[in-house]
Amino acid sequence: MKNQVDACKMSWFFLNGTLVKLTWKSLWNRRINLILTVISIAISVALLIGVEYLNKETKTSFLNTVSGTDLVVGARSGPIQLLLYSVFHIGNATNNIGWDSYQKISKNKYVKWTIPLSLGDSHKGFRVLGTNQNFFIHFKYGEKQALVFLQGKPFSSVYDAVLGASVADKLGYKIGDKFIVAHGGGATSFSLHKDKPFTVTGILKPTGTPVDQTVLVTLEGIEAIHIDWRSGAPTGLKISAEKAAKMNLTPKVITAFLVGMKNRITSFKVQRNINNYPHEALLAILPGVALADLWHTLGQFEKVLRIITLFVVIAGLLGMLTSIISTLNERRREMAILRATGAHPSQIFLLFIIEAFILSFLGALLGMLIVFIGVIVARPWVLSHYGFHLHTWMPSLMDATILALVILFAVLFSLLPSWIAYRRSLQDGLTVKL
Amino acid sequence: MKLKNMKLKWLLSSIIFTLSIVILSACDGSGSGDKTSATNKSKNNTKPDIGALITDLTGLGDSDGEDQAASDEYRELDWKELAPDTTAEEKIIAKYQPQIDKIPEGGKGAQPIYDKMIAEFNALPANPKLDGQKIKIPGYVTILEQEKGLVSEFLLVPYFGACIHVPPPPLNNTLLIKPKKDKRIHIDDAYSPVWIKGIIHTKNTKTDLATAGYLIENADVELFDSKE
Repeated sequence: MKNQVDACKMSWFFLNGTLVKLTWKSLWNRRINLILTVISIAISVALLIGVEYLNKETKTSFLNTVSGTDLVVGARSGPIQLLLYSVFHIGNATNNIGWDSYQKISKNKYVKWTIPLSLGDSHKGFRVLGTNQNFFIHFKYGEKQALVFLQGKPFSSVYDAVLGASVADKLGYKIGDKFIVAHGGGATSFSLHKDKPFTVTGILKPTGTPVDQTVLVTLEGIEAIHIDWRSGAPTGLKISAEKAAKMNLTPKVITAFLVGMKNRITSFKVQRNINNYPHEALLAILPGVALADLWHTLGQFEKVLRIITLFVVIAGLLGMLTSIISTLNERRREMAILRATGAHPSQIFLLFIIEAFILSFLGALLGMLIVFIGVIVARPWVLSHYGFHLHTWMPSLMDATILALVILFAVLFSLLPSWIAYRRSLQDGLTVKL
Repeated sequence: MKLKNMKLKWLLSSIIFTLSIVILSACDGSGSGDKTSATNKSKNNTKPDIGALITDLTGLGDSDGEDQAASDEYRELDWKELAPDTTAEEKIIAKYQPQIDKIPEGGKGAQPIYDKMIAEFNALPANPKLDGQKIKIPGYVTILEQEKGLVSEFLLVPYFGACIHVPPPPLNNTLLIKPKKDKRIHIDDAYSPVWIKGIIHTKNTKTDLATAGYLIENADVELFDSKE
């Protein structure tokens, strides 16, 4: 009896080392099955990791966009809409606001500074923003960081322009280059302000905010290019660039403005005053509060997206489970041969566990590779279309946990076919009737 | 033998599925691990009603704010103490009451008078007696600044939805709070009421506009636990 037990133990140790080899050879024998299962798991894992990564990237970028601003003021619409078009340059304003309203509010005794913003034009798909020197002095992002120039300096004359880092990068503009601004927001415009080109005087360093995708020009410049236009179209009257520059270029309307208070505690008071301003329908928001609200809304979507991707992973693993179970029958002879050469039924059990482990492990690795390459490929497109920079994907603790869970689930799912194979190998013994 | 076989199969399958459900439900709540340097756990994710008063939660409405048990060197401050002079408030109301009485119900002339009244309320000086005191006070958060999702500067107000509630809280009923770096709460938790502990500084509204009002720097921020 003792000898038999010893013999069993010996064959156990002998075969275990080669068990992995055997599993692999068996899998390779069915390599189409192997490749397809690995790809299916890879895609679902790539989806799971990719969604987590994108969520993290967009959130970081999103939270860094505005800092040190106490109020954002625009025509009356909704707080999130105002935040989106004035700061993120997503969407459009419902209306403009009058210059005199802006002037009056700027002179409020609690107000320290204001930055006027004028939107509506574009250049090759990039938004053109009319503003003044205050933008470079007071605009802050991230952790109260100010804008820094890579080259050049802020505007000094009517047709000067400063480019965000991505604009200069993508279009290859340098200091001194001239360009034409288009009316409206499309990448291809049929309404060009051809006769009044702008000159690049400065290029900003990258900020990781929508400023990188913005072309900054003077308020007067925006007025000048529209001086001989009415209702969004050129009139017959042609006024040259030089002539326009000498005319009265005080704007009559702007799109929105940012406000900094002398004392932040007075923000509520001034916000209330602006919202109740009797001469015009205005909306003043606290950007911190609006940002948090938008964040909460996005968070709901994020939860839903996460649940969906989890189900996709489970579907992928069930696919693997199905393929293993479906081949159980045709592998009965394989199991019989293994039993004949001394494999213990528990090793047959292990064979399937190892198989599931290999499949899910390879699938997970391939999934990570897909995400890594995908990020690198998508980076330039995302930068020009959405305004944020995708950092190179690196596996994090969260990703490692996800992978461990995926492999764990795969192994758990494989307990079923393993058990079936184990029982069958006991029943079948050495004779298999297929 | 066959029956045992079946039972075990079902047992295994049921174990697998219950485990899946358990882990799924746990995964649903897990964040992306960004909540570093915030020692507070999110306890309350539902938005309070607009205008919900903090005193409803703390039940401090009628106390006169005397020193609490000496175990905590920070004494609990009542919002009423922040508004210094109830007689001054009454004087202002008395001043405008005849004008308000003259206007019929819902008449147009009422708004400018209310505006003037509120302007005078707001101009009431901050209570100088509180300057330098170690206090703790509960309230709601109105975010001013956040860094990477952690609230780095906010206004503490006595009721929820101060930025949309009419009228807004007066200057002497609003505190500017700058939390300690490791005590910043996440913006996900900003709907919850909080306890603030710290040294309160007060500056008279009339003398220095830029620094007027109540300020607590290096404040300790904790999410409200109503069981306290």
